[in-house]
Amino acid sequence: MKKRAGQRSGRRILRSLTVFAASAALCAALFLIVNPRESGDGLQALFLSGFSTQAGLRKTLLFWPLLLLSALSFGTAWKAGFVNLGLPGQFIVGAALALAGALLFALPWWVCLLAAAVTGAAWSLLSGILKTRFRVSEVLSGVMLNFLALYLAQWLWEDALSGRGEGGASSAMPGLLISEGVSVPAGLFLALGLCAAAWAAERFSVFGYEVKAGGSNPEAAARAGMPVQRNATITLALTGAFAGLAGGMCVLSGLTETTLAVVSGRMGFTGMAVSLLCFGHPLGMIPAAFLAAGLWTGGEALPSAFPGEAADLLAALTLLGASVLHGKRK
Amino acid sequence: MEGKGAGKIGGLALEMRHISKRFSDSTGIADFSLCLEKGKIHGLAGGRQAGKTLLARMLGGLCLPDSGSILIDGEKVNLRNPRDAAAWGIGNAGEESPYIIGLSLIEHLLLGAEFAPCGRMNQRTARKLAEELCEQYGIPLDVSLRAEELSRADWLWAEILRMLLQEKDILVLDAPDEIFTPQEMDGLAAVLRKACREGSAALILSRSMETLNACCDEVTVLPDASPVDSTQTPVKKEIAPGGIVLEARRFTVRDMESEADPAAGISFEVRAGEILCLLGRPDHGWDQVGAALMGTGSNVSGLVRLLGKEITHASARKRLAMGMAYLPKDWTRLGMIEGFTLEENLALERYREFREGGWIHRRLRRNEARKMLAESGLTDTAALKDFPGDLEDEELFRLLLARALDRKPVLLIAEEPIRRASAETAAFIRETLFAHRANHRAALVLTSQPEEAMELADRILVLHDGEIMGEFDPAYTMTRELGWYMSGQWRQQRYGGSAIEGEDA
Repeated sequence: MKKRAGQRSGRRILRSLTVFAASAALCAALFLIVNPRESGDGLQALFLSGFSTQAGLRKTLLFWPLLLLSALSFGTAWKAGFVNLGLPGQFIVGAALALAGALLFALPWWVCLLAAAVTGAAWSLLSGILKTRFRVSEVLSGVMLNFLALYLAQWLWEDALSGRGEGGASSAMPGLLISEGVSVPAGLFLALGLCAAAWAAERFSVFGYEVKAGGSNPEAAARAGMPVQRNATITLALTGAFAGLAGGMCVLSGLTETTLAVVSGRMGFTGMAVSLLCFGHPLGMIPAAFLAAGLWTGGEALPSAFPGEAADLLAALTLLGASVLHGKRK
Repeated sequence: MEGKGAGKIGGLALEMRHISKRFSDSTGIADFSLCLEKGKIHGLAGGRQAGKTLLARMLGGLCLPDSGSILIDGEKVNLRNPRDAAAWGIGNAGEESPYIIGLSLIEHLLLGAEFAPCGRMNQRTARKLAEELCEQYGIPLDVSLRAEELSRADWLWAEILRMLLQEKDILVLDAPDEIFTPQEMDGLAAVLRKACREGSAALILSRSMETLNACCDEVTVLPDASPVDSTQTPVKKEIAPGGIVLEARRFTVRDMESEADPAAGISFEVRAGEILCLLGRPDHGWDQVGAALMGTGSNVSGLVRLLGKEITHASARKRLAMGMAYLPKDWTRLGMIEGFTLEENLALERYREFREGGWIHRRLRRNEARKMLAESGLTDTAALKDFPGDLEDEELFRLLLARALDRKPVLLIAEEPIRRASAETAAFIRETLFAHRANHRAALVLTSQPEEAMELADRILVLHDGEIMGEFDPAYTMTRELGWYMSGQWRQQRYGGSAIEGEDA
């Protein structure tokens, strides 16, 4: 009755697909109930327009790296034994710093991204300090720091950045034009590279081994002579950097139609859904994040009969299902 | 309460007829029958996984048999939940009875009772009743304490008091001897005998035939499992202890949350080719002593030397590198990582050896892991790609042992290595430990079980409240004697004045 590793991952993929299919079916059923006449168009817009139309694909490709980095951030923290609910906050401070760099100082795009990553890491370490020094749960402090980041950024932005749009153009992230109107943003390559690196580190490196051990059983890891505290700090900084990077990419790739509050919140929990659905596997996140990005784009292109939040609804349903996958069955 | 009225001695209080229960992992019991007479103490002996606890759970209404029937006072009953069991007058006390933090002991005693809603008045009555019962039966318990202030032995007494207070007719005790010392078991037998004289029946489940023979009227042995027979001493090669391996001077481990420290300025040494046993009460913070000796503890002071080098505050990493190994009793907490494969788990303590730069040298690691798997004798049942959760606890313990000894450590620290093992595994562990000893290496065993200490140790140090009560040579000591020192009675008699003669015979 032993399960072998190959079977295990096969079963996991099957389960994840089932969860996603079930949430999609539930979402479709809701569409049918709300507006049976236009539901065909609505479903087509939600599920297909992000991949089939040119404008849709362009946007999907912009969303993809953001979601990928968010999922990577959440997944890495998860492996190290943290629940990174502070992701939106890290995202926001990253975005704020990148924007400031672009608008105030007209820095090149990669410097802005670097600044975003560093800020994200610092923001995440705040949670870490609260946890190690004052034993505050990282979930609680993360959520509170989200609000702090959001209101701080809004306040500073309105004061400092209003009417200073001229410096931005030189800092926009370049992209690789693959066909007319559709370009692959440079951030995507960065995100894919980071995913691959995270996978390799987790699977083959001593550091990855230590982090996983410390995350799942800190006491046993400490007994085995591992520097648990140090590793946790490094990992926390890394997860913050991933989220900050996503924030930086968001503003530098010109996704400015929606407000930061909405994007960051969505980013947080869609990234969480992607990560949980993939059982934290960095390579599995690549297609899953692409799918989620497409649905997101589709959600924005919905006909007026349906709420724009349909994609979020789908993500929320998937997140709920994915968390069931992670729950221990009694 | 009607059972009490009908309290005729000699009738059948409880009968279990052809009980069977099978679990998917092929454990369970088959076709088990038992008669429990009123006024008698019945013992049920069985080794690990013989189904003792399963039977206790059935009687407690926590699980239903697949087939067979349970009769109480000749009437067939269906115990679907603990409330049913309580209503039929079955009282259950065992090792794992939980308590609720914040409730007083009296409130605990009233849990599940069919008294009127627990008002203040009722608590006062209950308290008076409890005090009376304690005096009447000779239960050494202070009922004014809070639940979290009680030691595990006190807590077991409280459970027994609760059964008496709630007037249960059938008293089921699951493995009390794992908590009580032999002397306290005598006390328990006296209490039960008194209760039985009033028409109750008692059932004691235990692994040890010796214990049951001492306090029961009749003993049933559970089929198809051999209870541990501690009278049979294993063969141990005679070797002269060598130089000092571990030396502890005024070694102190403070526990900020409890009054008694796990170790309060004790001094001892472990020599090469010797197994030293530290024996103390089960709630005595062994894990804190283990942690302190392995370098992950806190509030440690004194002086500890390994082969002459001071390691009092050395890191776990350094200790492992110096040749210390640790065998925790609970693999889920300290020994293995649940999400890791066996290969990854077997590399846990020496992962630094399997690396090239920052990367893991997988071939090397796999080969070493395969070697350890072969040493533990599990090549047929386990594969390196399995997860710890796929294996039985005993198999995992064998793996832990193989992992600990694979590095040929100069000192092995083991927590209760054979306490929960089946007879077969216990024999394997004993052999392995003795082979380790025969190679002139040292071992320190931390345990709460006198039998275990007698079986394994060359020398036994008995601890009470973190202080050494005395040193014993198992060849010239009786298990009962150890229990007497463990419970601190020795000290009370020596310093408290009221000496009881004849106990040390």
